Amino acid sequence: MSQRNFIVCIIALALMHASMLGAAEPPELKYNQTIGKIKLAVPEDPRIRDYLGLKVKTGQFGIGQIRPGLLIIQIFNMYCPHCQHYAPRVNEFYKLIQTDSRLKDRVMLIGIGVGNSPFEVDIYRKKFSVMFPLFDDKGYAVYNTLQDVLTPHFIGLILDGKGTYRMFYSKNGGFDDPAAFLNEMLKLSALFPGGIQ
Amino acid sequence: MNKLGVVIISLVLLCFSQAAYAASEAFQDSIYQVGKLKPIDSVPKLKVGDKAPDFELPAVSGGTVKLSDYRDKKNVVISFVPAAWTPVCSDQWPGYNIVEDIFTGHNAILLGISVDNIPTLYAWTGKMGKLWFPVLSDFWPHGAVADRYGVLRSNGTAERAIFIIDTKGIIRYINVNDINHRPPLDEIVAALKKLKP
Repeated sequence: MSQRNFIVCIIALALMHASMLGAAEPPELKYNQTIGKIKLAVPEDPRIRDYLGLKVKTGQFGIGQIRPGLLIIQIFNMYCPHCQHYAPRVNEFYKLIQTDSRLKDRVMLIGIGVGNSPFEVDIYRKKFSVMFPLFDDKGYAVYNTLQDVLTPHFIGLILDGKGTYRMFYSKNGGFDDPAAFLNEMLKLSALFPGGIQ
Repeated sequence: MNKLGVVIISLVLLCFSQAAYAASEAFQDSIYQVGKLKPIDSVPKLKVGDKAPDFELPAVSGGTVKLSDYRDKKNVVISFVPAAWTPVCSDQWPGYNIVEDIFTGHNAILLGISVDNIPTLYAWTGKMGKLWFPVLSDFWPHGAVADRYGVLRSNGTAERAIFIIDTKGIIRYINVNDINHRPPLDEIVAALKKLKP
């Protein structure tokens, strides 16, 4: 390739990338977005492993290894003011799930702290008295898989317990009414199409 | 390869580079994207064991703050950030805002310093919620304090740097961090633990 052709190719690549950025859709409701590459550290706490139905005790696990049911993932960041602001409401959301016999064993909630070390995730857990499992994403591996999400961000997945899942919800931002948000998630899922209210 | 080729390839690399920092929804549409920056763009002027240069800067909350006023009273953690309304910076101080107990537990005050002027810092930090620590403007003479601490970059912004100064005014910790990433909070806390109460 001549030097001139090489430079023309580089300019074309740059223009393609710029146009892709300009045409990018907002990162909301990315149905069927793949998150299969997400790997999280297996929790040391056996109660958390039981909560998620994990059979492995060490190393890492993928989303597909979680027991069947509805999995809601909160993408957060200890440093994010809105994550801090909405933390009590997310706790209330979790409490609604845990205190409803119809949901307790079928709906799971986890949080992933993107760009946060285990130390930083632990600060967030203690500061806001978070009772549901939190995982760290210190190296941004999860964040880079999801791409372009703003924190907080919520993802809803239906897991079949056989390694596959279906994403039915993915949206930036927190929520003001935990009960309304829960019902919205349940209605959108295949497990509770009519909600519970 | 001629100079044109080098410039074009540099532009393309800039286009394709993406800094992972997990932006908060709190600053959605308000952040000026700076792209991936040269990690460090200054020459150190101070080292651990040096006496910290004194300064007096205007605070967003009103009045001025003088470093030497803390002598024999408190340890001081100085957090220089590059600029308001930019990535990473906007998700740094809100994290420190929920760990006041860690700072006070080590008899330390946090001073946030930026080269922005007071009105800009007022608007920007207002998005972070009520900060417990003083935010100081090193705007005029522009970046004079950052320069004395050896953290003024060639474009007039500051490095993303942490200095920890003990009650005797001696520098005990310096981290001029990669500007594209937050300084690890774990390290700051570990450095605080080494100080005498």
